[in-house]
Amino acid sequence: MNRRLLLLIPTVSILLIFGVTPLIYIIYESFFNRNLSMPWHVEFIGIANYVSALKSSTFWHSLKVSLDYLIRALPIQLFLGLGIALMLYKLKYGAGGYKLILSLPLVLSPAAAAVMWRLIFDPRTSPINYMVSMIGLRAPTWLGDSTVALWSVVIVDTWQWTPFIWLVLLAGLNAIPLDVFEAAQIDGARPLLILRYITLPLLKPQITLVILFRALTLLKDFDKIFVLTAGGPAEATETLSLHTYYSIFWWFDIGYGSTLAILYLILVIIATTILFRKVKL
Amino acid sequence: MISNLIRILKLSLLYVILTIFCIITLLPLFWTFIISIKSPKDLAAAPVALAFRPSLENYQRALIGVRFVKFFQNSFVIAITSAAIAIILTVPTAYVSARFGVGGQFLKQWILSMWFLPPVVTAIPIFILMQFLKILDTYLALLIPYLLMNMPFSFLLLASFIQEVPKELEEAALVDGCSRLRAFWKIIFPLTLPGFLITFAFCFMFAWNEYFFALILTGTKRMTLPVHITSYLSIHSIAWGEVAAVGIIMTVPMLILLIVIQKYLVRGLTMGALQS
Repeated sequence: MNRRLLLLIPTVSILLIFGVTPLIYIIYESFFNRNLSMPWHVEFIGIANYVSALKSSTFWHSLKVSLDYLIRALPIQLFLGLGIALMLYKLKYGAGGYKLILSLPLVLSPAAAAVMWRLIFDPRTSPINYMVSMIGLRAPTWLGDSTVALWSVVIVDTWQWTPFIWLVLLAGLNAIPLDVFEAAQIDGARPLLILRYITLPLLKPQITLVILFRALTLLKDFDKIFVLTAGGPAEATETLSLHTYYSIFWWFDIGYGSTLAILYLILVIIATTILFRKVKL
Repeated sequence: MISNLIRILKLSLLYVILTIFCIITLLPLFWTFIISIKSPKDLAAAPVALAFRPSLENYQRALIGVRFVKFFQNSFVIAITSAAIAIILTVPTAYVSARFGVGGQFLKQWILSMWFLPPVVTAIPIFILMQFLKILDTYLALLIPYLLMNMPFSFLLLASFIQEVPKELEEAALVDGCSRLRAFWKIIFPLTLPGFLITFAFCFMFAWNEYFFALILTGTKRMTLPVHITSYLSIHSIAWGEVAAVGIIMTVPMLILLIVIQKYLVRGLTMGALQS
């Protein structure tokens, strides 16, 4: 038994040293006023950082943007993902080719993908803007308009992550025994009723998994938003992760940045706890 | 007859819709490719026009000098090393967790929760540590956060593969006088070799694509490709052609990788929680 525990050491020690110690360290730092641009000035200020974070409208705004991003992206991706999974399930020929092409965005670097999408969103190089102007309409300023920018980010995220959803749901569909559907068809059930009362309930574990996984990855998203809009215009897309990033690497405010990181962490812990309640590993 | 016709119509509708989705999926890649083969002159004159003479000028410009080659090499080296080390370090843990249930559900959940840590949360201590050790802009600086990212993944996926090997096979080897280590090496490793390769491929991909830590921990020496490509954007007049060329070159290895891991995408991305 002891020898078996020894084998845990490599993984557990590295994760403790580089994963858990940092968390303890930021709890410590969050009680100090420390700015890297003034290294000589370190002052214990108790919970003042937390008070000012919770009083700051920028913090609440960034939290709102994070949740807004989640609430906009998730339903769309779920709907599209379910649709594509059902369609691929019906295909008898050529499903392999479609699957290969449709799952392509998943393996691309989010940063590089965001750069590619800048070519689509930039009014000078955008083929979409060009086509829209051909029919006499005006395309939105994808990344420069504060009411549109978050939607543009959602588009890119949907493009990249919908494949994950249909892949998981399709695996779920394939695991359902065929005679379940056949029995329902013989009983004369209409396709929509089959979907509502048979397919969806049977897919519930996969749907739960997908929702929670996606919720967590949307919450920790940084690359895409940073490259597409850098949080702008006028903080319209500044999520909690970008807000924390700026207070650390722009304002060099270690104390306040740590406080934001802690508050961010609390949000992630809540989401992770729900995940572990629902999904068995 | 009519019902047959409706069925054929329905089926062709499926193909049409899926083809539209494919076009949308490929649009950014296709467009990046188009921009990348337009000479800077054409690009300046008419960026959107489709009638132009293909040129490789952007690729020549993007590849010229040591910069690009160096960044490509950086990306490659760090992806290979972090994937290999993550696997080597997590194999023993994955083995005892899958075989004997050591640590149980708690261990798995704790390790997975490390994967869900947003990079921004650990950014301050990791940055300060690297600064203190004076190893900013080195492979070692990148290796640590990449292990933090790849080890939870590798642990969970490997455990799910090892769990699939029937216990009896290993026990038979033990009865024949093999040590546990030898039994692992002779029985489990060969049987789970595909699992190891898949895990390696995924870890390679995550490190190749990683942006945040590369952004904060590297400078001109050990910059990786994702940071390199986005660094074009901060320049006032963006050289779109070159950016596009870099984007295409970065994408090619991932396309090859996709063909390898395609069958295992579900299993990999859910970290073994689901099997396709």
